[in-house]
Amino acid sequence: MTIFKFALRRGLFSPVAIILNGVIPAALIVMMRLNDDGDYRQGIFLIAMAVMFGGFFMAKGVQNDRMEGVLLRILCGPVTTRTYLWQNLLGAAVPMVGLTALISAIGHVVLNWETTFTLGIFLTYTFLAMSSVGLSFVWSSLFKSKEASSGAFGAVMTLISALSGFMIPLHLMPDFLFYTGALFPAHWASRAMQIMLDYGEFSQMFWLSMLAMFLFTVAFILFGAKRRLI
Amino acid sequence: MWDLTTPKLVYIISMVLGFGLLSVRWIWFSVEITGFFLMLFMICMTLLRWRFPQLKWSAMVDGVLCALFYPWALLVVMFAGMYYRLYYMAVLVLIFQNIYIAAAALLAGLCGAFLGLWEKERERGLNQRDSEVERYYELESLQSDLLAATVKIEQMTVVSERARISREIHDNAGHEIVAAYISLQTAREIFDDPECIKSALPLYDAALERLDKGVNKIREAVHNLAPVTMLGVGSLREICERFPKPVDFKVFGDTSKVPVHVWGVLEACLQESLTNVTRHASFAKSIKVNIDTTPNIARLCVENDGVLTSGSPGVGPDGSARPGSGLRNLRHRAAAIGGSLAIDFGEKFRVICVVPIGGIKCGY
Repeated sequence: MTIFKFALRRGLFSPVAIILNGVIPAALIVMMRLNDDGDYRQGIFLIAMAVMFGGFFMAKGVQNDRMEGVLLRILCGPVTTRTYLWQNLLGAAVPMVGLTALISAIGHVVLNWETTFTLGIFLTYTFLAMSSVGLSFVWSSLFKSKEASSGAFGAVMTLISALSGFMIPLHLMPDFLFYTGALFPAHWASRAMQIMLDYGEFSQMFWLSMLAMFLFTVAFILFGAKRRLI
Repeated sequence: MWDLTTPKLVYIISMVLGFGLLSVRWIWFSVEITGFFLMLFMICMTLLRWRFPQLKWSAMVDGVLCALFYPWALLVVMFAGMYYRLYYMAVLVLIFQNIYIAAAALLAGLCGAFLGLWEKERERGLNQRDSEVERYYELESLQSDLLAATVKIEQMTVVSERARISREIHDNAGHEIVAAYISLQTAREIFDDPECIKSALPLYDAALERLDKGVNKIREAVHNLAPVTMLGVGSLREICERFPKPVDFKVFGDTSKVPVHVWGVLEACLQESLTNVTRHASFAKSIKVNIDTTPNIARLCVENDGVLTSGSPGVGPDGSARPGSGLRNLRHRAAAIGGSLAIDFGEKFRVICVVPIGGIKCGY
């Protein structure tokens, strides 16, 4: 579990991950608390966006290892690619689950969220974070150059954020953009959050959204684990 | 990079295209959510089969689910099934008895058969190539073994030749000289007594006669030992003199320490280089051959000013050297005795062969 320990340490102490997973959600919760009208709809979506980016950066170590040649040195030892990948996956997933649990708990205490709502938000954030970690794996296997990776990352993330309903409510989107957005996991997170905000209960659509995010995560991880890393 | 000539790539492209079309259908026609989830599930299953090829039977599960809930995706499934040689996909046609499913199965079957034939043909070609490469490496290893054996034989020949020379001198000239020496010693003692000087003269004459015989026998032995063909520097000089163009041949250093087998390699190298000059650089005006020997190495440099241009035989498109089979073989021969062969494309064309001498271990 050495790789897991290093991945965990690297993820937890990465400045970008700390800002995205700690500072921004905390600041947003405080801002939601200070908001007089009690409408924290936008805040929930913004936290989801931070979690999505945070999950991505949490598993970005694989890409850095690959680009800096660390991976080559690691795989020279008695470590298989599979071991390396699943320990990194675990190293990114465990803190993300802990973090989403913490955010939900803070929301429950500070913003007086109902238990069902808290649980729904926790599940949504967790599945979204997992799919982001998976996407990060895909990213690591696709790009070898840092410049190309950064360029494509900006474009894809802007596209996902715009289509997912984090910025524009889903019901205001034209059908074409709505269905295009469904091809990304963030759309389903957005749907699930919308259901929790509107109805506050676990409807069939909520579970379907979870299933969609789970399937996206599986697909991303399978793709990321198949491609040759070195 | 992708190998653009594999059936696997065609399969991947077709699957991506299939899922792309299903996605477009989802976006454009706002199909029911079941279709979307089935598509997502199929993508996962396809990736799973890609990751674990032993799960190819799972294409059947996709097929049944699609036939039940989303017949549009059947083409993709059928194609996957046919790629993995799941001919029992045809069962689907019998179960569902639908014209569209039948058409999809037929199309996928044709594509699958085509891919199968292509893959078989490709595999056969690859196997053939592998066996040829294997044979080539076997031959190469055999060649290097033979070269190493040649070096050993050369060394053994030298040792046995020395033994023969010593035997020749010992058996023939040696006896005569020893006998002459004993006669002269006896004569010397007789010379001390003035009364017996006359009796010493026959002994003295006999010693002279024996010495004469010994000298003659040494001369005969040397005559018998002298090689018919030239060896060493003489041989290289002769090759240069026989060459139709004037060759500036120079020797530096003490060449007496260069072993016979090294001369063999240098000779072959010179021959090949001069042949190449005739074949590829007939317009060369100046040809120089230098042999430098130090206590550790012997270096042969064959230089000519008929440098080839890019695209000529033996020159790559970027102007770099592309040695032919002759120089390649020489490289192997030089490597077999611990040396190296380099080709220099500068202002002049140079072939440089450096071979270790003086107790350096030979071989690869």
